[in-house]
Amino acid sequence: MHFTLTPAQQEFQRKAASFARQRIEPVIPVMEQTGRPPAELIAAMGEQGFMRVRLPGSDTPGMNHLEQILLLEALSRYSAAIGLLMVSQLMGIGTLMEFAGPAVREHYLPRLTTGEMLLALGITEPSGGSDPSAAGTRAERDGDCFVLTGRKVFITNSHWARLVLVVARTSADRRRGLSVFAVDATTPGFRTGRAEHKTGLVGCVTGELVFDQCRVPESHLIGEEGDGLAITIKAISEYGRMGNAGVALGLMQTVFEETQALAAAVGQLYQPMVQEGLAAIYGETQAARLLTYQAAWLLDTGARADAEVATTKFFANDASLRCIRRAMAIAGSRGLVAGHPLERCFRDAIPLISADGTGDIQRIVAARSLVGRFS
Amino acid sequence: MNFAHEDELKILRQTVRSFAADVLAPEVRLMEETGEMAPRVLDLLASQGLFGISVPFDYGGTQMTSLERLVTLEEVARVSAATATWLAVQHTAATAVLTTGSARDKEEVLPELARGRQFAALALVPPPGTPGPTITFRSVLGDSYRLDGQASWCFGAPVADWFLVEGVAPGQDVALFLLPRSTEGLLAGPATPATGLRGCPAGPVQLSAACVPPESRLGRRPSRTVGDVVAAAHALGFCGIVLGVMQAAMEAGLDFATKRVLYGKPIAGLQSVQFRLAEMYADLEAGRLLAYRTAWLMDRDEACALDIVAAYQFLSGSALRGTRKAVEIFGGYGCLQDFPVERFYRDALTLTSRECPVRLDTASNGV
Repeated sequence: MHFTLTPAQQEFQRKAASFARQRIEPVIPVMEQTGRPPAELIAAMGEQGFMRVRLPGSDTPGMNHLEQILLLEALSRYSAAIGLLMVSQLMGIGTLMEFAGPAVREHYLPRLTTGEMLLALGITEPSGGSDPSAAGTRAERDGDCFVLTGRKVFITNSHWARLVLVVARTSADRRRGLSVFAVDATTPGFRTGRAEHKTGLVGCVTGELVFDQCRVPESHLIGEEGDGLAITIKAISEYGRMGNAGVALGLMQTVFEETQALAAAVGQLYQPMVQEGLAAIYGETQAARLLTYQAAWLLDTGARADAEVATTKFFANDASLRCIRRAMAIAGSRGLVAGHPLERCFRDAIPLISADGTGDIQRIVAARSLVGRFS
Repeated sequence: MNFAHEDELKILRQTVRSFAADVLAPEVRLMEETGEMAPRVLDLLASQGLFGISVPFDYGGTQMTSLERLVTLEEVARVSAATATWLAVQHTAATAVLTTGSARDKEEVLPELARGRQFAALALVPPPGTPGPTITFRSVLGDSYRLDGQASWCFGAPVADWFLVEGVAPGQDVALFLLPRSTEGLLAGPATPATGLRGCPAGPVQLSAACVPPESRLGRRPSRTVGDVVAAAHALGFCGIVLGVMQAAMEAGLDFATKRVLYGKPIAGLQSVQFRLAEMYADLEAGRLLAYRTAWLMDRDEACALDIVAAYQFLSGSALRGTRKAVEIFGGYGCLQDFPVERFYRDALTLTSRECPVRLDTASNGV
C-alpha cells in the first residue's frame, strides 16, 4: 500500500493545474454570464492531451482512470462546468475506443481527442434516467440503416456536440433489447430541443436531443445489436460516476481553499471553531479523494468495482454538500455574494447529485453488490 | 498509488482475527457483565506480544509499524473494543516512554509494559481552554515537581502500575510524567461504570501535593513536541478501535439483512435497508482510507497532524452513524443484548465522547 503518485503523474497534475489557473479561471465570469466557455478553450484542452484515454491493459498513450480523475479534479478546481463537460467527452471517447467499429473509430476519434468535436451521450429520457433499460427511443432496421425516433433529456453537451452516442430500443427484450448508436449531429432527422437553465454548472450546456425518423448507417452501431444496456452501464459507471466524483473533488478543494482564504482575510483563521470547520472540510475532501482514487486504481487493474464506484459517487456528492454547509457557517454572507467562488460551488454541487445517477440509485447499486459479495 | 495490502499485512490481519475469534469472543459476555477483564485474557494477549506492538525488539516488543498497529487494533476491536482500548492505552504509554523516557525508564519500565507484566493508565488533560478538571505542576525544592489536580475517567486507572500524567504549568507549558502507583499523593479511584467499553476499567486519578523527583518528568525536548508524539499515537489507536467496531457493525448488519425475512424475502432487498448498508460501507471505507493513509504517513515520518485530526473527527462522526444504522437494521432485536449491535453502539458512544488528543492548533500548521 502506498499513497504517492508517480513522478509522471505528479508532473501531469501540475500541468493540468497550471492550465486550469491560466486558461479557465480568467474566463469564469464570461461563462457564468453567457453560459458557455470560449470555443478555443475546448481545442486547447485537446491540444494538451486532456482528451486522450488509455484503456486498462493497454499501453497506448493517454490517461488511465486515475489520471482522468487527476485531470477532472484540477479543471474543476476552477470550473465544475468544464469538469462535467469533460466527463461526457471522456466517457464517449472511452466507450468508442472500446466498442466502436473501424468506420466510426477512424473518422471520429481523432477529431474527438483533439477537441475539434465535442460529444454527448443520450441516455436519460423524459420518463427518467435511473432505469436505462426502460428506454423508449426506438431504432428500427431498414436495409443497412437504423431509423431512430425518440427524445433524450438533460443531456450534457447537447447543443454543442457534433457526435451523439444514443441508446435506443432495437427489440422488446428487457436485457438485450437496447443498442447504442453514434449519430453525427448533421444527420437529417436529428435536432436539439430546449436548453435548460440550471441552478449551477452554468458553463456547460444541458438540453434535449430529438430524433425524428433519423437514419443512421449500420456501421454506426456501437458494439453488437443488443449490447446497449451493458455498454451504457459500463460507460456510466466507469467514466460517468467516476468522473462526476472527480469533479466533486475539485469543487471541494475550492471550498476548502476559499473558506480558508476568507477566514484569513478577516483575521478569523485561528478561531477554534474555524479551525474545526476547516479540519472537517479537509477530512471530507480527503476521504472522498481516497475513495475515488481507490476506485480508479481498481478499475485500472481491470477489476470490477461496482460497489466502490457507486459508493465513491454518492459519498463525493454528499461530502460536497457537507463541506459547503461547514463553509457557509465560516464564510457567512461573504460566501453568498454572486461572483464569489463559494457561491458558485454551492450552486454547482446540487446538479452533480443527479448527474450520472442519483445518490439513491448509487446506494442501491452499492448495497446489492455488497450483499452479493457477503452471501 | 497502490491500495493493495502487502502479504505481510494480510497475514497479520488474519492471525489477529483468528486469535480474537478464538480467545476474545468467548470472553465478551463476562466482560460485559462484570466490566472487568479476565486475567487469563491479559496473559494470552501478552503471550501474543500484543502489548508491545510499538516497542522495539530490544525492549521486549514486537516493533510493528503504525499501519500494522492500526490493523491489529482494528481486528481486536472487531471482536472486543474494550480489549483493544486496553491495548491502545498500553501502546500510548509505551510510546511515551520510548520517545521521551530516560535510559533507566526504557530498561526497567518499557519491557514490563511491552510484555504485559505491568500496566499503564493515561491521565491526559483536556485541551487548553476546555473547562473541567486539570492537573497542574510546578517546580519545588530545587529540581522536584509538585503535582495537583485530577483527571476523571482515565482508562486503566483502577488497575494500573504506572500512570502517564499530563500536567500543565502556570505558563501553559505542558509536561508528561511517568509515576508509579506507589507515588505519595497519587490516588487512583475505583472503576466508574460506563455505557460502553465494558472490560476496560476507567476511573479518576487524583494528585494531592504529590512531590515527584525530576527523573519522573519525561523528555527534555520541548514539551509540546513530546505531547504531540504521544497524542498522535493515542489518536491513531482510537482510529483503529473505531474501525474495528464499524467493521463488526457492518458485518452484523449484512448478516442480519440477508437472513431476516419480511414480506416473504430478506430485508436486504428493501431500499431503506440498502441505503443504510451502503452508507455504513461508505463511512467505513472512507474512514479506513483516512486512517491507513495517516498511519502510512507516520511510518514515513511525514507531517500528518491535520490528517490525524481529520481522521479522528471523521471516524467519531461515522462510528455513531454507522453503529446506529446497524441497530436500526436489526429493528427491535437491535436493542436486545442477545445481539451484538447494541454493544457496538454503546462502545461507539463511549469511544467518541472524547476530544481528539491532537490539538487543532498543532494541526493547523498543515491548514
